Amino acid sequence: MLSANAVLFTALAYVALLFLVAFVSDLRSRKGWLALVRSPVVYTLSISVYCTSWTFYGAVGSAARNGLEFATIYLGPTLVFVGWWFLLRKLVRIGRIHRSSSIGDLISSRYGKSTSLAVLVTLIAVIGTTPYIALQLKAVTTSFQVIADATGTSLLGIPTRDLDIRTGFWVAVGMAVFTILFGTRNIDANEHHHGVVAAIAVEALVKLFALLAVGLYVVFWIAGGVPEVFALPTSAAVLQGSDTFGIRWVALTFLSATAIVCLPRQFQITVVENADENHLRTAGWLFPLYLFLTSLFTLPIAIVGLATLPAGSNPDMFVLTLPMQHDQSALALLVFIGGFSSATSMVIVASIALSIMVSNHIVMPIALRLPRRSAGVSGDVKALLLVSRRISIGVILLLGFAYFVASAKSDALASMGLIAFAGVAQFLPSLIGGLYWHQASKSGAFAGLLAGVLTWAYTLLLPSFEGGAIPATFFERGPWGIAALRPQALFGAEGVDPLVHSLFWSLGVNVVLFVAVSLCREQKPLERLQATLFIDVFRNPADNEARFIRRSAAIDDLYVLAQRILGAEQAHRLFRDFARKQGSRDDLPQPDTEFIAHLERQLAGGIGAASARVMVSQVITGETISLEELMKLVDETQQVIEYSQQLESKSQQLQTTARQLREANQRLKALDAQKDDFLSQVSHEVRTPMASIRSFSEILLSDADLSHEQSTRFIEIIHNETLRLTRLLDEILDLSHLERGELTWTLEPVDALAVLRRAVETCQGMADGAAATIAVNGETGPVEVLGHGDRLAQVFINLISNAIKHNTGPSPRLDIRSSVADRRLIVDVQDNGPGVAAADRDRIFAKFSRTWASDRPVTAGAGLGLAISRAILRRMNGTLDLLPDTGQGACFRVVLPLRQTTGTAVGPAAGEQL
Amino acid sequence: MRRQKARDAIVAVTVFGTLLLLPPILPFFDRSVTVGGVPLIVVYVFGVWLALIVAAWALSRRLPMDAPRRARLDDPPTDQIRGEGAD
Repeated sequence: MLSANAVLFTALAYVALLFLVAFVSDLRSRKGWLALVRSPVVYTLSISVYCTSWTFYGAVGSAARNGLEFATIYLGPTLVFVGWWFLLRKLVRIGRIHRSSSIGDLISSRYGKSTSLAVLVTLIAVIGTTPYIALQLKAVTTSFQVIADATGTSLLGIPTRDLDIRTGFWVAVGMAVFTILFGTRNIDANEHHHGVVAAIAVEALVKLFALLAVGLYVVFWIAGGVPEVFALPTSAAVLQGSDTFGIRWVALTFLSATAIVCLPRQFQITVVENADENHLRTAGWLFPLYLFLTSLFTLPIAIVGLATLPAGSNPDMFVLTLPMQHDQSALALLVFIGGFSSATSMVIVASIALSIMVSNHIVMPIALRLPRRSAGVSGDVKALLLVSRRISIGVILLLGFAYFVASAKSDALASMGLIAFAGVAQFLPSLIGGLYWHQASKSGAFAGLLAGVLTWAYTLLLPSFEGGAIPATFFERGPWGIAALRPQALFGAEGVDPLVHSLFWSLGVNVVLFVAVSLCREQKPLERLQATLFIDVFRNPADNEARFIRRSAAIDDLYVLAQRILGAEQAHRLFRDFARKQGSRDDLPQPDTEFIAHLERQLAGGIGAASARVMVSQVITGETISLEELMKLVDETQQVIEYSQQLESKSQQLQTTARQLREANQRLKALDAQKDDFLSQVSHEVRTPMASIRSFSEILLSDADLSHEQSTRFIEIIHNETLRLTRLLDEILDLSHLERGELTWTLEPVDALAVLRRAVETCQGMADGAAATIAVNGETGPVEVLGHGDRLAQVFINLISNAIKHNTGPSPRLDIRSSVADRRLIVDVQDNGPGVAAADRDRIFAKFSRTWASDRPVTAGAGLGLAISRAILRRMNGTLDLLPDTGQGACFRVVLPLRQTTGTAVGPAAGEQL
Repeated sequence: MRRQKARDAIVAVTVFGTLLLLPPILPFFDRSVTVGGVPLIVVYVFGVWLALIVAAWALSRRLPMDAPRRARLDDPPTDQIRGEGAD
């Protein structure tokens, strides 16, 4: 049978187990066996410190009151972790490179290592976290109370009415002892608490196991299956909240997404305790899965609890009271331990995170400003830090306890979780702005944070004390009766959910001031440097810092400083390692700027960036921040981005150009081949007449007995051949001039039809000789084109004579038709010969087309006629084409544009290509 | 190219996941229909949630690994981390 005492001893045994786990892990880690402690699974489990007792017990309560709304608390973090690649990865990288010891440290470091900013962040964190710790204490004591009440037993004989205070106190003491033992063991340059992380991971498993166990029990034993749960009448009541999915849903999702990043304890676990950046890869899906499993049974437990437990039972305790109702002592005990786990893990990590912040950002700056008591002794700063952290842990837990006592009788605590979320959400603008916006300045961050947090305190924190220290009229009528200043209806924004209302005003004021002040105020050089190092963290390793800050110091001073903060042993190791890296055999490195930067980062890991900077500044001389280098770096980064974009477009351009070049090359190759062809054909054409001239002249020379008649015939042949040669050469010259556009004839108005008639007349004799008839039809009137009369005649004569010469039909006939259409003159020369073979159609316009070479008469041209004609027409902006074969002989078509009557015709482009 | 795709995919998953889990899409599924005895809205929320987890799991192994960093951060800095992968 369950009794309060049994529960107490189980809890103590559980705490002993945690001590053991933490102790063994610490021992292992110091011996270097980190395999298990530094695994991604342990890392993920430790992140689940997010799930406190507020979610362990309270999620069911929330589900009982607002249905699915409880899920928002998990959906926000799920989205942040699924998108880990963008925010968390950068955060972790920066945290590791700059040795951020807390979220305050990271923000202050980003904004020029500002002490004041660190103090502000620390105060906000303390204000936001203390009530949260009180909430955990309340959860544990309430669970004790529930068991004590239900079992009718008393805890160590303490009367029930005192129970909560006393248990609360002892729970706080126990947690303080654990935290001090394992959380402040050392001032580690890494700030890794392996023992604590291992213990938190174990607690994560315990609370998940407890929730799953009670969930399975409730669903399958009590209700008898999943559909049965949702068939209960309370199911509809739970799920049909009037406006679950309204603005509050959005606000809560946003708030929980913010909290998983901004809560000091989450920062501690996710960033500071991160042992390997690639662990995020696993956490990116495993942590959402953890949250998923955690909330899987929340709804069923709430539904079944509402249906089976007596009316008026506290829904926040359904997880515990349901198994007790059914006398499942072991299960109830497990649930109690689970809730206890959630509370302790949150308190431990939160108080460690806060103590680091308090000691680094508040105690250290004060100590540094006090007049020096004596010359620094080795390890004195370290000792001061350790003591201040231990004291802060005690004080923080004491504060939490005090808050718990003060509000024990009110329900204020229940809403404390979301109030704390909204408080730390004020970090968001400065944090995100700091990671992605170069202009974000310290003044902007400070103004935004301060105004945001004041608004939050006024609109959300203050109302939580309603009825206590502050009279209710204050909220109803506003301070001094000014209605516009009512905390929950600022400037008349009435009827809004208080949380949404506060979130809107506080974050709104925060962002506006942050941006506006950042834009107005100039950044200091150090701020600008830190901004660049943070924002471009994936491009500029922090080692680059040495490029910008030049400073020098005596190595002895640095060594003393390091010893004071890190202790003799660590300082020695640090200096020796760096000396080795510099290639020195001595144990002391050269105190160059690179070393000083490295040392400052190491110290920052222990005491925070702002304090480290102050302390290092005390021993160095002649610090200059090279603005020029800094600007160069910014420019370089910009350039890299621009270059990569340019490169991309350039490479596309290059591809296009390469393709065009390839095509041009192919064309050139074809042209080259054509030229070779042309040359060889010219040689061939020249060779034939030359050969006959040579042979006949040889005969004439060698044979003196030739008759006059014979010699006259031979000379005639020679004469004819030279004529043919001359004509050939003339034509070649003509063509090349035409093609190069060098021919010096001008375009003038010409009556093309008159030219055509003249050409027909010229060819009439030839036609008669071949017994061919020529018929001219079509246009009769003058048709003016821009051209050259003789040249145009040459084209027509060439076409007509070709048609006569190549017409081998029995009754050769030519049809010449002219027409005007579309402001163009069209002349078709059609014969009834055999036509042009399909294979030759493309070639006949080429030079020396061999088509007609075989049976060419001596008087014929050299096969250049059509090529020349085409070139001539092109000069006149006209075309010459062979029309598609119709089976009735060949038909060539000349097309010439008519002369523009209003303006002058456009001449051909000079140097027109082939 | 494959890495770029994985990076784009994680953007898409995050953005669409966010949209699916917020109004105005979410209330669309808030109707009195049950799937296997479970109200539609519950199935929807947990279904999208699970889909997000699966997508994140599938993509986590495709995203580029970060360059191996110094084994321990308190080792002296080395030059080899200069100019490592941009984001």
